[in-house]
Amino acid sequence: MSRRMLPLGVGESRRFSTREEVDFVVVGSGAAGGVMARELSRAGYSVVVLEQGPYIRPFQFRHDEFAHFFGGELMGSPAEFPTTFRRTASEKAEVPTQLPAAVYARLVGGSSVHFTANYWRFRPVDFQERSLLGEIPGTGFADWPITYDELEPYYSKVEWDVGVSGAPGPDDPHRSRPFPHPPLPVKSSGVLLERGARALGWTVKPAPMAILSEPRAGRAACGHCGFCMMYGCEFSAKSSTLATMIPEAERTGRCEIRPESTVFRVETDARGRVKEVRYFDAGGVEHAQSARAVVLCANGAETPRLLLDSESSLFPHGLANGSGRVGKYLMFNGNGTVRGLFDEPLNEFKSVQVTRICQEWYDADPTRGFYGGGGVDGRYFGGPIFFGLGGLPPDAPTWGSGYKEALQDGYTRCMDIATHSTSLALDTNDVTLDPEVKDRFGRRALRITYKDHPDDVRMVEFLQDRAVEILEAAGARQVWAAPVVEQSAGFHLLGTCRMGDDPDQAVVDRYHRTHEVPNLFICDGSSFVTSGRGQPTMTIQALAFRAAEAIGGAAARGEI
Amino acid sequence: MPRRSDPAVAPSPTGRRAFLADSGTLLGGAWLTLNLPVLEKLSAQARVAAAEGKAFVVLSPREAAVVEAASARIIPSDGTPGAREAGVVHFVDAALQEGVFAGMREAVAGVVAVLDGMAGGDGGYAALPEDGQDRTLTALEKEEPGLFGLLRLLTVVGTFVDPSYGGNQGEVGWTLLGFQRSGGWQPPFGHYDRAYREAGGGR
Repeated sequence: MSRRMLPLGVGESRRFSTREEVDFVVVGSGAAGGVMARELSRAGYSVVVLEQGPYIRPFQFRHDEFAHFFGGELMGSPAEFPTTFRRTASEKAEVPTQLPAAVYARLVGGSSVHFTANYWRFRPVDFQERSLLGEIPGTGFADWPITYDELEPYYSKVEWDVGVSGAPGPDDPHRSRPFPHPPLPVKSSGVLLERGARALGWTVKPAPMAILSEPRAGRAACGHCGFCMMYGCEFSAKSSTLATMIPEAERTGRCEIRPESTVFRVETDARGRVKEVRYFDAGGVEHAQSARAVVLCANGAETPRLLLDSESSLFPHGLANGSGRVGKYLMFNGNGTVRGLFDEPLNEFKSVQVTRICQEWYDADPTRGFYGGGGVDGRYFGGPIFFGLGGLPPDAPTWGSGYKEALQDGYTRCMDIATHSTSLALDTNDVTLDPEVKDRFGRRALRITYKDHPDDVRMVEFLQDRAVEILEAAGARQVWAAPVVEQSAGFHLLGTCRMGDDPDQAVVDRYHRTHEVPNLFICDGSSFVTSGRGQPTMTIQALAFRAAEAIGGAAARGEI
Repeated sequence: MPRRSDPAVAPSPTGRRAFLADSGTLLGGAWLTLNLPVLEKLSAQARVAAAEGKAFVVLSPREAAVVEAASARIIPSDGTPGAREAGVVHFVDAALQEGVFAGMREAVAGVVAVLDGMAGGDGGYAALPEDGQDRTLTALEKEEPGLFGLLRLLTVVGTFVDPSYGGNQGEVGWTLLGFQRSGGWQPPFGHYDRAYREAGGGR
């Protein structure tokens, strides 16, 4: 591959012709794609990033609950890009009327722009749990081909390169470097989580957050405005790839971010090597970008969809899908919520969502009678509209003077404990192409088939019960929760092109190269073999740094 | 030992635990989808209409009177501003013009007709005294829970929405809750973290 130096003026971004064969096309600019773009362009390669969403600048982000939670701001139009959902393969999939079945942002920076920024590392157990616990019949429970120790240097690299605030806890896995930034200031929800959990003998520690607690290289420290979850950060204090990796990639002069470019097919030559990537621009006009190699970082729903849509005579079941595992083993992570009402104001609407976590139940424990592990955090529940609609305890009036009084009393005095836990890999949970519903470009819609394993549901119930105990021990006046139900929407899209050494069992190898196509790589949530305990983005980025190093190295050695 | 999250299990000895029957109410249930450009346009229209005190675009005078009266019973003006002062009816008129809420146009007309029918008399629902309006709303909630839910959704959104959409005028909804929107805050944020810091608890 070439290592061309392309000097450019300040503020000028490189532009490539579609006919020019670039070294790498990266599909997607989110948590993984942003890292890939920055690392490969810094290594000297020419890179075009194709992003389906628009290039929105941080100053354009706004604090509008109605637009974000009702209008799907930053998420694109579900009417233009429908996703269908069904519980099992025997059902007909329908377009949900409310939350899309696969929830992700569509803009440069991807879901890292609107995420809550919880940056838990995985622990050693997450990579080798199958060996520790044995087979779980009826599931695709398996070890990763890599270990925590192999990934650890890249976890540290994420923390230092994107900016993560936190402090190590006594139950944390080994780390080679300290956190680069101290924890964000604790909120009342963090204090109460700490008070309740410690009274019960459980360990609580500052939340690791990809949000700056102090200024850093042209980025402001968090101003505690309170608009993180589902919002973009106009101060660039949130360490999205839009605020971190993307501008650094552009500054190399070798990387073009091409927004509003929806990739619909990866084209191969007669030898089965990728030669170009075909995409629609915003107006629906078709283009093709030539590339020596392609890295898919489109997320755990879009990446398998693109492979399935790239079927050909050489790859009749979808590109790189000789194993039949493309789209399989979709994992959402389990999650639950318990709310507590306290006597004094917490004012949770101020500052970041989460400041304290408790991971007391991280390891699976056979004495519980089911598989699973996880943790909890203390957090802000959301904005005024959502509180008005469903924020009050079940015995509160729903209208009239009593309702108004309860709103007035409750809004500043409530907090949530959110639970985060494992999902088992199941062959029956997958991403496929809908045979009937089409998107605005005429592509078959994403079809999500998902039914939680019973153990996943039991783990959420277990953690919700612990959360109830914590809130009561912290002195809550009232504690309530919704019954746990099977999920019908996922914010974490994991496992659908799993990593493994055996080409019959996995889509990519341990360095993220597809087993079947030597110049096609995949790195995003789809690479996961297990789900972790509920905060995947940190691991997605650690994998991306590691993969970029390996891919760049292979290119330098002429091994692509 | 029974599972503690089983709603059939009796509340804990403290009696403070309860469970929502509707699993959707905490987060997912209220999620609606609407095209962003439409929201922008609606927002601008509502701003202009509210500022100029214009006549309603979608709602007839009678519909506007019923929506305003009913919303004012859901969040009443009892000593502090409620849905009426928030301008919920202006929000509704703007929101029904385009987008997903426009799909509620017929349903809103239906709510008005049903409420007026239940109220009887020439003046309909809006002419009833407040206790009569409350009795009628209670009956609506029981007999037509979907229509009542729509009315409540519009009232709540219109009371707590960004004021640019025509509701929450003067931020009266946010003031009711104690919510304030600011570009930034500094600790202490609330009672418990203030006490924690004062006790030397650190970050």
